[in-house]
Formats: sequence, C-alpha cells, structure tokens
Amino acid sequence: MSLTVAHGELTRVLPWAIRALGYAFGTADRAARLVTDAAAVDPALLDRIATAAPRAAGTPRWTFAEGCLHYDAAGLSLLEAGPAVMDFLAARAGEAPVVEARLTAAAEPFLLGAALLAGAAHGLSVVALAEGGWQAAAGTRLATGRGAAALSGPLGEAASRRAAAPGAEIVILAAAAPGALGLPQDARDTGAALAEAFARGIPVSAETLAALYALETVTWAPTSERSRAQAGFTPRPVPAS
Amino acid sequence: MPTLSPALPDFLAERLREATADAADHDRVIALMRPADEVMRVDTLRLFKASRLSFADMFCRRMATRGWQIRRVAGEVDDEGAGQFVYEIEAEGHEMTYIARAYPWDGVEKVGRRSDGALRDMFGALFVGRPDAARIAREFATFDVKSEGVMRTDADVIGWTPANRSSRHFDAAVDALAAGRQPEEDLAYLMRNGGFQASGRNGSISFQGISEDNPLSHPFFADIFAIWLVRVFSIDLVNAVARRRNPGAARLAPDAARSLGIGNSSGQGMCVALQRWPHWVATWVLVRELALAYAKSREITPAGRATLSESLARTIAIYRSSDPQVEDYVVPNGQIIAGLTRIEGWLATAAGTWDSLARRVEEQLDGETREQFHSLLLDTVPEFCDAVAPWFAIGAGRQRRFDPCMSVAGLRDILRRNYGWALTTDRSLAATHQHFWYHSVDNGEQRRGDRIIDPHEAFESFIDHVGLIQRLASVLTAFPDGARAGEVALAHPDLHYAMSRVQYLDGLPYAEIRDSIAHRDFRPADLIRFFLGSLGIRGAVPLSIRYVRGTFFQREVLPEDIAATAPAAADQTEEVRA
Repeated sequence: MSLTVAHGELTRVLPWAIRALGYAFGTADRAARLVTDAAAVDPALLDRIATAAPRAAGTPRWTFAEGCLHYDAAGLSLLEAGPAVMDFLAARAGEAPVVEARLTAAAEPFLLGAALLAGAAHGLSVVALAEGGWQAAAGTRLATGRGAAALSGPLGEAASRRAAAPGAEIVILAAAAPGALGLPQDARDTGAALAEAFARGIPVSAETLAALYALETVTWAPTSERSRAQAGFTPRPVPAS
Repeated sequence: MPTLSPALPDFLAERLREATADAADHDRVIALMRPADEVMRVDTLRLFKASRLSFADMFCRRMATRGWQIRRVAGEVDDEGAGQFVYEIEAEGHEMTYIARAYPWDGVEKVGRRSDGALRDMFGALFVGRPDAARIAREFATFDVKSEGVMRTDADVIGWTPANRSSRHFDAAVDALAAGRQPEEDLAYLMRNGGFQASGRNGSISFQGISEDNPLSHPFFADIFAIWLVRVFSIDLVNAVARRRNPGAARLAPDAARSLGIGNSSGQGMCVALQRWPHWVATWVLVRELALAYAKSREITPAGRATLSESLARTIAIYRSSDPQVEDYVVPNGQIIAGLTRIEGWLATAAGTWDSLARRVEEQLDGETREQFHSLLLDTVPEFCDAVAPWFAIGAGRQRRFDPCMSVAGLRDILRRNYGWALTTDRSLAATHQHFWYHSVDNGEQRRGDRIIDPHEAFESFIDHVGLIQRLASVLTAFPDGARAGEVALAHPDLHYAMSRVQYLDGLPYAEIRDSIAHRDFRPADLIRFFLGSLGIRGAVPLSIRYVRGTFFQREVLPEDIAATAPAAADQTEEVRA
C-alpha cells in the first residue's frame, strides 16, 4: 500500500465525513482530530471509520458515585461517548488517586484508543479494560495488551487487580498524578507517530480514502441555478476609468 | 497608568519594553491601542489595508534580503503554448523545486473558482528538495489527469498551484512581444491564481510536517511563495510563447515584468476560514494594532516625513492603476487618492507625534483613507514592525485546548468578560441569523444560502459564533457554579467546541469578530477584503457583496532583482522594493 493521506487532509475531510454520519458539528470537529491522531498510530482505524455506522439515536444515562462513573451509552459510539467520558474523568481526577468509569452499550469499541488519547491530552494516565485485553495511554505513549500485569505504577497495579471487564462493559481507570502508570517497552510513541504522519502522511487504501471522501460529499448540497448564484461569482462589467 | 485588557502576550510586551525609552513611553503606546470593541467590528476590519506587516510583504522582504535564488532550468513551449517548466530554488540553506505545466491554450477564459475543479490553464507543484526526473515526470502525469478528486501527490510536495490565463492580458502581451515591442497598456497580471492546494490537500505535506527551520514553516509563506512562483512562471511563459511565434520577439522588459502581479478573486469561503481560525485573526490584528500604536506614539522627524511621503506616492500610484470601485459600499479610489493627497499636503507642517496627524486624518477623512494611512504609518517604524513580526508565527501556533477542570463559574466569567457583545445580541428576528454557508456538489464550493428556503442547513459550515455563545450560556444555566466543564461536556459533547473556543481565546486582546456573520445584512466581501489585506493584496475591488478581485505582487521583486541583491545577514531588514 503506497498511497498515503496527509494528516492535514484528514483533519479537513473527517469533520465532514463524521457529520455525514449524523454527528453535530462540535462533536465531529473533535472526533476528527482524535481519529486522525489515533490513525497516525494505527492506520487501520481509517478503514473502520470509512464504514462506521450512522450515529445511534439513543440517549445516554449516567450516575457518578464513590469515584465511579456508571455510563450507559445507549448504543452511542465511542466516537462521541469516549472523549466525553474522558473529559468527565479529567474533571474528577483531582478528587481521588484513581477515578473510574464503567461504560455499557457503547458502540464501535475500536475507537477506544482514540478516546484514551483524549484522556492523555488532559494529562491523565488511563487504562481501559475490555473484553479481550486492555489499552492504556500515558503522556505520548499508547499500548495494548492482554494481561494487565504488564502495566506498572499505582494505576497499573489497580488495573491488574481488576477482573477482566465482563461482556460489553468497558472499565476505564484514570489518574492525574504524574508517573501513575508505567507502560511496557513496546508502547507506541504517539508523538513520533504524529511527527511521521505530519511529514510523510498516513498509509491508506484507495478504497478507504475514496469512502471517506464519499462520506464528505454527503454534506454537499445539490447544485441548482439558485445555488450557483449563491456563490456570488457573477462578474459585472467594469466601467472604464 | 493605561492598561490594555487583556494584557499583551509576554513576547510582545518584551518587544515593546525594548523599544520604548521608559515606563511613560511604554504607557503612551498602550494608551494608543484601540479597544477591541472598536477594532473587531466588521465595519472596522473591512477597512484594513495591506501594509508592511501583510504576509506577502513580509515574505518578499525576507526572500530578497536573505538572497533566495530562483533559477529556471527548463521551460520551452510548443506551437500551442504548452510546455513544462522547472525551477530550482535555494532558500536559506533549503533546496526546493518548482515545476509548472502549461496547457495548450483553448481560448476559454476561466475565472478560477473552485467549482472549475481541475480545469486550469496551468498546474504547478512546489517540492521540498530536488526530485529526480522520474518523480517530476510522475507529477506532470498527475496534472494531466485533470480530474479533481483523482489527482494525488506525495508528502514531498508542499502544494499545487493551479492558475488560469487572463486571455486578454496574456494575448496582448504575446502580440506585442512577438511584434518586437513592449505591451503598451498596464496589464496588471497575465494569470489568475486558481487557489493554492496545500497543507495536506491531495496528499501534500501537512503544514506541521514542514521542517521548522524551513522558511516556509511560517503562516502563509508557502502560499505566498507558491503564488509568487506562478507570477514568475507567467512572465517566463509569455516570453516563451512570443519567442515560439517569432524567434526574434522582444522579451518583456524588467520594469514591465515587475509591474505584473497575479490576479486573484476570492469568494465567501474566506469568511468561514476566519471564523474557523479566530486566533489567526486575533494575531494579525494584535500585531498591526500594536505596531500602529507604537508608530503613532513616535515623534515626527524629517526622515519619517520622507518615508511616509514616499509611501503615500507609491500607494497613490497603485490606486491610480487599480480598477475602479463598482460597489457603492466601498469608498471610490478617487476619494482615497484625494485623501492621501491631502495628507501629503499636511505632512510638511505636521508636528509632535504621528498621533496628532492620525487624529486629523480621522476627523477629516473617511474610514478607508484612515486605515490606508494607518497601514502606511507602519513604514515609519520598520524596526519595530520587524521586532513584533515573529508573533505572527507564535500566535498562529496557539492550540485550541479544552480544560475540563475549569468550573462553570469560570466559564461564565469568560463569557461575561469577553462575550457581552454576543450575549446581548438580540436574535429574536430571523434576520439576525438568516444566512448559512454550505458546500455545493460543484467541487465543494462554498455558497451562502437562506435558512428555511435553501436545503442542507443541517450541514452548514460553522460561522454562527453568536449563536454558539448564546447556546453555551444557555446550557450553562442548568449547571451550578461549582460544576466542572468536563461535566458539561459529558452531558453535551457537542459543546466541547464552544467551551474550548472561549477558553483558548481568553487572554487575547483582539479575539473574535464582534458581529454576526449570519446576519441578513452582513456582506461577505467586507471580511474578504480584510483577509486579502492581511495577505497583502492592494487595490482590492469587490465585484459583488460576495467576492473580491485584486492583484498580488504588483511592483514586487522578481528573481533577477533578488539575484542582484547580495545575500544579507539574517537580521537585515532593508526593504527591497522596485
């Protein structure tokens, strides 16, 4: 696969592509940047976004008690719910050494890594436990694995003491303290991946790129004589000086 | 002691301290800075004119004083005017390459709008480094595809420069040269900018990917350089076509060539960009207003008089050669020329600080002339302008970040401090937010529709910051003061944008355009003129309320001018202007 898509190209196209899926401007604006940054680390993410489902109509419900957010996403994608939960955890992270969120019924779990980047951008160390393994982010590093024993630091130890998240549930543990989480050696350097994406682009298949652009064009209005007139490009004769 | 609220950013505050004699001197400058409530209105911004702090001016000065070398190494055309041109560039230790493909002239005038897609008279590409012949051939082959959406490049390309011939100007120049003489009329330009496609478009390198030590890693310098290269190419092309027609054809004389710029027409998509990147606007206005206040605070000297007199004469000449204004909401060029001529007359007896003359201008002349005078006043303080110019890059680098820990009381405080103008805007009438911007299927061209009447409001481009702020304020009423912004974001994820916007703009003296862009009576051309002035276009002429025509680079340097200038020290600031 020799085709690449530029980081700046994705941050220009994805907001519209995501809006085409039914997301509001503010949500799409943020998700586009997160997805682009996450794709710099994992380009395959673009394939999933290109075939993502339209925004679900569900209304999420949540409670927060004893340092734990219980969030029923009601079918909403992590594209929308994930960053919002990270915002909430960041707002509460100063209240306890570790704050927690338990997400149920969140769609498109492949976006968990992107959501964790939102947490890391807030200065959090975050570990997400889901069926099949964990993902974690701290600073500019992102890691995935199966046994949480690979994680160290107070947050890593807290994660390794937890049982695997049951069923469709996702457990997210977050801490604001510096050094709360140690990641394994093979963690990806998101800063380096971003620098590479800026300078050389992100590998992408022609099909995926075409699908992303096709999504964008959903947001383009049909043309008409009236529409063309609304471009305002109707030169009038310039009088002689 | 006068204060600016919010205070100057540290960088600019330090430059001002260095440039002022004492605290009283410093305070005089601060006192002369105009309030945001006056400056950040569309009715003021629309009057702003290009100055030595416009991007094209700053770039051309840098290119000239730092001895950039631009050499054409290939460039011949066939009988139809088609050909391939290659230029090698050395810029402050960086090699770049520009290639340009001229297509056979089809006799069809193309005005250069986005909906034209890839149907252009020329395509160019600016490379980082020295691509080999195979890479150049591949790029030329890509141009020949001529199908928007299918054409792709790689990250070794900074951007593409589509452009179109002005058939009348181009043909007139060729006819004259082929006949062995110089063109008789002032042609203004030979080609029109078709919109620089860069910053990741079509797979080109992202702006952040350009190495930091590359001079094009500066806001708008890549755009400006690329368009300047189109100008160079247009002159080479017209010479080549004339030579093909008649081997004994005349070459465009240096003075005639230097008088040629690049035509430019800009549409209302520019308004969307200004709303999307408010920290750009804040940066441009802050640098200009600070430099203007500094200039006003200086004593009038004989040298300053001479400088301003020269600037007035040069500017009057530009207005004289510009197309006449045809919209009644723009002051006619003749009136501005008359005003500038009166200022020239006042200059001999002007005394005290430049502010005294500025007050006289403000009292007796129209707003367009006033802002033109302000732009020229910057010529009297070139060292200070150069000292504060780095803020263009620093300020543009500001990142919109969301602080989820901020209390709702803190958010409310920002809204009260910075957005009273938006919160008190009466939106009860539909006219206050009648318009929306949308992309059309005609290659995504930005257009402006009427709500209810036109389709696709659901996919409007963001321009309605007044509505956004009012919605944020409204939603915040449902939260207690002690709640955190992160809690608001959990309940309203779409308000992340609104909250991060007000947070990151807080602390900037000139943040946000303080009028509704969605209002029925807003004229897109007003903000287009502001944008074009910031870029460096002079003599801009709105041809409707929706688009503005102008010319880049008229009377600016050409490669041979730069070659004739010895490379200077990096800190040399002498202006090289024909």
